[in-house]
Amino acid sequence: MEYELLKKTLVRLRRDELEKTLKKWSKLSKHHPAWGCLEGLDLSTTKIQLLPQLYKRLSKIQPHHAGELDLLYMLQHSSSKTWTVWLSTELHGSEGYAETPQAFRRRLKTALESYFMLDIQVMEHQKALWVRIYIHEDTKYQANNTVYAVYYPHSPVLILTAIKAANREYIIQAFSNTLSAGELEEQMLSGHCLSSLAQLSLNKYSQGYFSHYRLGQVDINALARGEKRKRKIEEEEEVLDDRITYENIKDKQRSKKILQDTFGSNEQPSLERLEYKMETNFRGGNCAPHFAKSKEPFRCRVKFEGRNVLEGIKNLGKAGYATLPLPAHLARVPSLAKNTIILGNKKSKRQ
Amino acid sequence: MSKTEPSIYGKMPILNSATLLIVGCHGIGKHELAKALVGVGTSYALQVRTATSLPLPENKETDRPKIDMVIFMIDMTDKRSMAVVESSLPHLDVDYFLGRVCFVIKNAQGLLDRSVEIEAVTQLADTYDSPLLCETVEPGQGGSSVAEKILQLLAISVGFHDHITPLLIDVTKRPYHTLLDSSIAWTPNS
Repeated sequence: MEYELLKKTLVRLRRDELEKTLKKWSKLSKHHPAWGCLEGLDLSTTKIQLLPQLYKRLSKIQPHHAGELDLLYMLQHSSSKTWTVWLSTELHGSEGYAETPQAFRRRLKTALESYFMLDIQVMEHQKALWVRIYIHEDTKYQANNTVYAVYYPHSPVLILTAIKAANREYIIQAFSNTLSAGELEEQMLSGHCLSSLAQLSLNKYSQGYFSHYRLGQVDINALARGEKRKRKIEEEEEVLDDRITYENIKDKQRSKKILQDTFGSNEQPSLERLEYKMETNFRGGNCAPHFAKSKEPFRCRVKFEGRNVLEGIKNLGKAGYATLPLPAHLARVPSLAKNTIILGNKKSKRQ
Repeated sequence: MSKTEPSIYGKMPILNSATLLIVGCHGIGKHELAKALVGVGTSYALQVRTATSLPLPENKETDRPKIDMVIFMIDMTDKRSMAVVESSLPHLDVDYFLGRVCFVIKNAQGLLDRSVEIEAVTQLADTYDSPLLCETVEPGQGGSSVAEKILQLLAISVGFHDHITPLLIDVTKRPYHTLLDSSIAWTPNS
C-alpha cells in the first residue's frame, strides 16, 4: 500500500521541488535514514524509476513514511483541495490550544485509535499545525480516506478538507476533544486558497481599510524614505501629459476614496466563489402579481465565480460598472468571513 | 445661448493652438486616443480634454479654454457607452454640430460581441450630421490613422486652412441613409 502512495506522491511532485522535498523527508524521523543514504539518487530518470532506487537504499518503508511525504507535498500544494473552515464555539480570540506537534499527534491518535486503524502525521508549517489522517479501510490505498487539517494555535479556527460522511462525527469529536474546543461548527466559508481562508477567519474584524492598522501601514516614519517614494511614483504615473486633462477628476477622486475606505489598498484575500441564496418571498408584485400572492419563499441563487471575487468587486467599482458607494451586501463581504450568504425573510415583531 | 450649453463663440481662441474634447464612458479608451493624438505631432499646440459625460462640471468653466472640436466615443460591445453619448448630445450647443463634432466607434469588427446596432450608430451620425470614424482594436498600428483623420478635421474646424470651413465639409458629406434627405430634396426646376 505504501508503494502506491509513494508512487502517486512522487509523480505529482514537480521536478524542481523533488530534491528539496526528498531531503526534508529524509530528515524527519530519527529512524529514517539520513540524506547521505539518498544522495546518489539519479534524479534525471523518470520519477517512477526512482521508486526501486529508493527501496534499495532505505531499509524499510512503512505507510507512515509515505504519509509524511504526502503531507510534505500537501504543504506546498494546498490549493489542490477544497478546504472548509470550522470554528470552535467555546474558544474565543486567542484562547486556543498550543502544544508541540508530537504531543498533539499522540493525543489525537489516542482519541481516534479505538475506532479506526489509522496513520497520523503532524507537522508545523507557517505558524500552523498541519495534520494528515489516513483511515485504513482496505489494503489498497484510497485517496478519499485522507483528511488534512490545519490548526492555527491560539485561535478558534480549524480548517479541514472533505471528510467521508461515515467518519465525520468521529474525526470532529476527536479534534474537539484534543483541542478542548467544545463544539466545532462548520462555517459557510470554503475555497481552494488556504491562506486567504485563514486570513478571512482569523482577521475577521480587521479587513478592508482596517488592514492598514493590522499591517502597520498607517504611521509612516518621518525618516523612512522607501515607502514615501513608492507612493509618489504611483501618483505620478496617473498624470499623463500636460496636454491631456481630465474633466471629471472630482468623480474619479470620489470613487477612489470610497473604494479605499471600503477595501483598503492592500490586496484582497482570494475567494473563488461568492454565493447568495435567497429564501425570501417574491418581491416585484408589479411585474408578476400572481407570484406576489404566494406565501412560500421564492428560491433564488446568485453566484460570483472567478480567480479572486473580492478583487473583482473592487475593480467593478473602479471601472465604473457599479454605482458607488457599493451596496452593503457587497461591500461588507470581506468582514463577514462567509462564502455562502443566506438571505431570509425579515421576521416581523408579531411572530 | 443658455448657461448650460457653452457656445463655441463664447470664448476667445488662443493663437496657434487647438483644444479637443473627448466624451465617452469610463474605461472606453479615451486616454489611449488622447495619447495617440498628442503623439502625432503638430505645428500648433494641441490640448486634449477627456470627460465621461456632458455637461462638464461648472466649477472649472473659467479655466477651460475654447473647445474647438468634440469627439464622442462609442464602444460597440457596451450599451452603456451608447447611452452615455445619447444623453450627452442634447447638452452640446447647436453651433458645434456644423462640422465640429465627430463620432468614433470601437470594436466594430466582432459580430459576436456586438450589443449596439450599427444602424443605431449610423442613424445617430445622420441625425447630427457628423462624420463617423472607426477605430481598430490594436492601438499601436491602427490607432494613429484615426488620430490623423481627427487632427485634419480639427485643423479645418480651428481655421488653420484658408478657404475651407467646417460647414463646407459638412455640406459635401454623404449621409448613410439617403431616406433622411428626401424631405429636403433639391430638384432643378424649383
